[in-house]
Amino acid sequence: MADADRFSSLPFEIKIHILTHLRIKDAVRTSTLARSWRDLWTHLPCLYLCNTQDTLGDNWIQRAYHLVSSLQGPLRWFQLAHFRDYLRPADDSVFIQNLLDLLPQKGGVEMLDLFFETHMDEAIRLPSFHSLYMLKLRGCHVGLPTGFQGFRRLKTLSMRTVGISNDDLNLLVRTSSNLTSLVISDCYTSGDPLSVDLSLPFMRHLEFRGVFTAVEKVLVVSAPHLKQAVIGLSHVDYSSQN
Amino acid sequence: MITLISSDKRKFHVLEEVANQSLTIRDVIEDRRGRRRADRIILVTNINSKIPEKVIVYWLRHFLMPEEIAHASMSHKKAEKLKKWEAKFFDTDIDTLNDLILAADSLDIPSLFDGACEKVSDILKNRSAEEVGEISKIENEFTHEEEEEEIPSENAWVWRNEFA
Repeated sequence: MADADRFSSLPFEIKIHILTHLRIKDAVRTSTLARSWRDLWTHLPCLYLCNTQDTLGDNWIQRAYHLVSSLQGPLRWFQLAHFRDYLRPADDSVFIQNLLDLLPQKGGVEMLDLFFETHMDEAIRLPSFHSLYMLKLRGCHVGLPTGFQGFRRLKTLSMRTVGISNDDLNLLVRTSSNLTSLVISDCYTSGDPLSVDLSLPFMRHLEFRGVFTAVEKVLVVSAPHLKQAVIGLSHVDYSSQN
Repeated sequence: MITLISSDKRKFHVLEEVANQSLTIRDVIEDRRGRRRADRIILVTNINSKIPEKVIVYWLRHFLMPEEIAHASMSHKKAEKLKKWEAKFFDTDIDTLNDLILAADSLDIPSLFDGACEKVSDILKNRSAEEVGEISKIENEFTHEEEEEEIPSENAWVWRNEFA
């Protein structure tokens, strides 16, 4: 038996390492290899799920939801992507929201990457993550949870073509005091014109660019470690007091 | 020169500079520098003699170009050649791959570890459970009913060949 089951004799961490090289479908399939592989994939620390035919296919979001709910964690990296080659069902935002709400139960998510090539109109509410250090959003409408305490460990925040209310944007930036990199590109607000005050003690890289629907003011109050700033806006009052 | 002794008591004499590719061995050599010759023997207890041979072959192939590999400054032709060589090197049976992974892990040889793990994932890629079972000699321990009962039907789509 020992001879016949060599893969199973590998330490847990190494088996997981091997699984991380596989696409999700192949990783889940390994559960029938042997008893010791049965639940292995549910401990995957990084998950990349997208709608291409070789990954999740047309039922992408339902499948993604069920995969994530089967996870035992801890899940550290989570990437969800939807590419435009395939139609998105109209009712998928509910699933996306449910999926996001599941994530905090799966351990300390450190990296969250949501990528929608075709823009999602319904707003999604980000859950509270305690150990999030990288947040990348593209092509969605986001809101913050009620009683938002800030992503205290957040180091990298990147938002491209993201809709966010002015209050939420300011709250997000103000409470993320450890940010070292901030990218806000082609974002827009509904209602109030975008206006943000930045006071970021550890900021190294700042990028503000694109055509905003309405930008009133971007004020860099304090950023002593700023190495690189890219500002490409129309109608911006850019001033630095440092 | 240092001496490696495998679990089945075979001795392998290797140039220090070559064995240095194992970070574990490098640390041991560093610790024992300046001591007597007897101290330059390293027991590799968890590895049978077939594996040190493989590992040393791997070391010798990589010995002349660690700098180039580290800085990715290798010429295209050389890189292609090395890639071909590695493909052949890792094209071996599952037991050997398994032992290579364990050896690379305990001796801390990152490139060997990654290469062997990648080969194993290649074997697991795009294959049905039955196919993989055949290759890896892993016995499928559970019955079919058990499979259907325990594997959540929501995730059953992974077994469909809709992507083929």
